[in-house]
Amino acid sequence: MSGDVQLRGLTKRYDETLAVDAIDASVNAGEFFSLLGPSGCGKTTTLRMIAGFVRPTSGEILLDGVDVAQVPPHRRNVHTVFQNYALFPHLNVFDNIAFGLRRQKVDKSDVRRRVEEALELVELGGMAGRRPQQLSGGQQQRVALARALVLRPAVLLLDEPLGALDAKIRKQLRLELKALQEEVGITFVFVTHDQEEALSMSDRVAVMSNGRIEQIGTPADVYESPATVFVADFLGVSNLMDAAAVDRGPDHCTIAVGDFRLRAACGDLTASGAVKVVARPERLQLLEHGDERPNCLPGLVERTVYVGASVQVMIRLATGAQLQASIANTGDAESYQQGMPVAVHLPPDALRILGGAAGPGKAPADAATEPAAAPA
Amino acid sequence: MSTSQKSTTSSATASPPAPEAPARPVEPAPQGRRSLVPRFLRNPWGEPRFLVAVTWTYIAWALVPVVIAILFSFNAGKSRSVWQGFSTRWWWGDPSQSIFHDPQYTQALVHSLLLAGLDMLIATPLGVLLAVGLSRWRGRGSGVSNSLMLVPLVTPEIVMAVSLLVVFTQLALFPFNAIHLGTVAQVVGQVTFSLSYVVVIVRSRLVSIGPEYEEAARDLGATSWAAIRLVLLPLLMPAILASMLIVFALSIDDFVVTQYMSSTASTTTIPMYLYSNARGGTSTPALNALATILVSTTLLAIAIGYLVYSVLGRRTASSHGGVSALRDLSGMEA
Repeated sequence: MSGDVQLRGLTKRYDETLAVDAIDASVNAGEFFSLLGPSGCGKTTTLRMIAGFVRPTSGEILLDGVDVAQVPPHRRNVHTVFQNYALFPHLNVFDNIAFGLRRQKVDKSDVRRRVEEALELVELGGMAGRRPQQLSGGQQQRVALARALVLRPAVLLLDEPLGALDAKIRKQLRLELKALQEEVGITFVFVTHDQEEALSMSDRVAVMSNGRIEQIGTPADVYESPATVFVADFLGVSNLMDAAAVDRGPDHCTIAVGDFRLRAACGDLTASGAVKVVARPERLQLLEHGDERPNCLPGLVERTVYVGASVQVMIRLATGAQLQASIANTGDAESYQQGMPVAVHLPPDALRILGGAAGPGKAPADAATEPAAAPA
Repeated sequence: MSTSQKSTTSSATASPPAPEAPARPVEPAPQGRRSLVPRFLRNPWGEPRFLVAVTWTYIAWALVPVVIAILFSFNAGKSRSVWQGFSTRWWWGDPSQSIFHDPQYTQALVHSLLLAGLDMLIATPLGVLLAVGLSRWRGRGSGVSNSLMLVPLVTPEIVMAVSLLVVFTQLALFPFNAIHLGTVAQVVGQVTFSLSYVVVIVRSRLVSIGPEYEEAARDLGATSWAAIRLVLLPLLMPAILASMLIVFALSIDDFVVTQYMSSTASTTTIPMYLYSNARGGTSTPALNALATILVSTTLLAIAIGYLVYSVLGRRTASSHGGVSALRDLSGMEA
C-alpha cells in the first residue's frame, strides 16, 4: 500500500521566527507516526505543511516520491482530522461524510454505499441523519475520522484529535484509533503533546523541540534510550544529574557524582569529562539507610506524592541533587516519611550517559513541575 | 438620597451583605438618623424598585408620544391633537385624502420601499464581499483599513450627505459626474453609509466561525470558491439575512442622505414627506398613518432580522456560537 511521506529540509519561516527548521523525516507506508513535542515546537506547522495549509519556505514533501510542497490542499491525497473536528454544522452526518466524495464527482449510489461503509467502520451506523451538534465529543471525533477516511487518503493527518475529549473517553479512543489504523492500513501522522498518547499508539515517534526533530524512534527507543536531554526530559521525569566520566570499562563507564562513584552501563560510554546522566524514576530502588551495595547514594526523603498506582518519592541526595523515585504501590505507601534517610540504588543498566556534552537541555527542575509527564 | 442610592445599587448588583448588616430581611435605619427613604425601598435583598421605576418612566417617556401619534392616525376628525372618535378614514376610508388614495402619499411609500429594496440588494452582497476580503487580508494596511471601515458608522450623516452632494454635483470626474441627483444618487448614498453595518455584522460572524471550516472543505477537495459557496456562505447566512433587514430598516428610516440626494417630487420618501409637512396647517391624520407605516416596517424588519439570526444562528452554531455576533447586532440597532 502506498502512503509514504518524506520530509526533506522542510522549513517554515514566519518573518524572524523559524517555526520549522529544516527537518528531515521519513514516514513509512502504513505506519502510525507521531509528532510529539510541547506547544510551539513546530509539530502543528509541520502537519499543516503536509496538509497544504501552510506553504513551506523551503524543502520538499515527498508523497509516494512526488514533491507536493507547492500543491494546494484540495489536490493532495492527504486528509486531516482537525483538533476541533470542524464538522460542518449546517450539514448532517451523512452530508458531512459525503462532502469529499461529492467534490470528486463520485456516483450518487457509490456515495451512499461508501458513506454507509465509513459509518460502519467508525461504529456510527444509524447516525447519518443527525447534526454534528447532536453528537457527543467522541461521536463527533468519529465522524471527523469517517469524513477523512471515506476518501481513502494515502496519508491521514490527525491534529491532536483527542485533545478536546475528557480523560476517560480519550483513553478508550486511543485504543480504538490504533485498532482502526491497523484495520485500514493507512499511514497516520499524529500530532500530540501528550507523550502517553504518542507512546501508546505509535509505531514511531518524532520528538520535536524548537522547530527541530530531536529524535525519531520507536516508543521504546525514545523512552528508554533518549538521545538528548530534551527527549529524556520531555518523556517523563528524567532525574538528570551532573557527573564526570572518570574511568572507562569495556561495558561500562565509571562516573563521579559528587564524592560518589557509580557505574553506568547505558548511553554514551565513551564520554569523558562533564556529562549528564539520567535515570527513570521507576528504575530507582530505595534501600535502607546505610546499605553498602555498589551504585548507592545516600539521601533524605523530602516529600512523597501519592498518585494511586504508585508513590512518587522526592529525594534530596547528599550531593545536593534531587531525584524522584516512583515506587509501585504495594500497600506500604506510608512507609516513606519526610526526613527519612534512605539509600538510593541506581542500577548500572538504568543509568544513562547522554552524549554530546548533553546539549543545552532544560533544567531538570522544569520537568519535575510537570507531574502529568511521567508515564506510570 | 445617598441612602436610597446605596440600597438600590447594592440590591441591583446583588452584592453580598456588608459584614455589619444584620442577616434580617429588612435593614433597620441607622440609629439616631431618620432616613427619608421608606423602609420597603431599603431592602437590599428585595427588588430594585427604584431602578424599576426609573426604567418604566423612561420607557413611557420615549414610547407614549409615538403611541399617541399612531393612535391619532385612527382619528375620525381632521385634528391631529383632539380625539374625535375612531375611524380608518385616513388609512383607506377617505376617497382622496387617505394614504392609499392620495397619490402624494402612495408615491412616497412606493419610493421609500424601492430605495430600501435596492439598498438592501446592493449593500448586502457588497458588504459580504468586503467582510470576507478584509478577514483574509493580512498584509500591510489591513489593520488600518479594518478601522477605516468603521468611519462611516461614526461620520455625522449630515457631513456625509453634504460631501456626497458636492462630489456628485460639482466634480467633473468620471464616476462622480455620472451620478445624477434623484433615485440613483439616493441609492448610492444609502449604500455608502449602510455598507459599514453589513461589514460589521458579517465580520463578527466570520470571526466566530473561524478559518477551520473552510480549511476542512479545502482539505476534503473543495476549491477555494467551492469552500466559500458550500461552507462559508451557508454558515454566514444568518448574518447575511440579518444584514439585509438591518439595511432595509436603515434605508426606510433615513432622512438626511436621502433628502440631499433627492431631485424632484417623485423622489420624495416617507421621512422626507413627514418632515416637510409636519408643521404645515394642512396636514391630516393621514400623515400619522404614514408615520405608523414607517415605524412598523422598521420594527418588523428588525424583528425578523433578529429572529432569523437567532434561529438560524442557533441551528448552525458550532461550539463557539454566534452569541457574540448577536450581541454586535443588537448594538448595531441602537
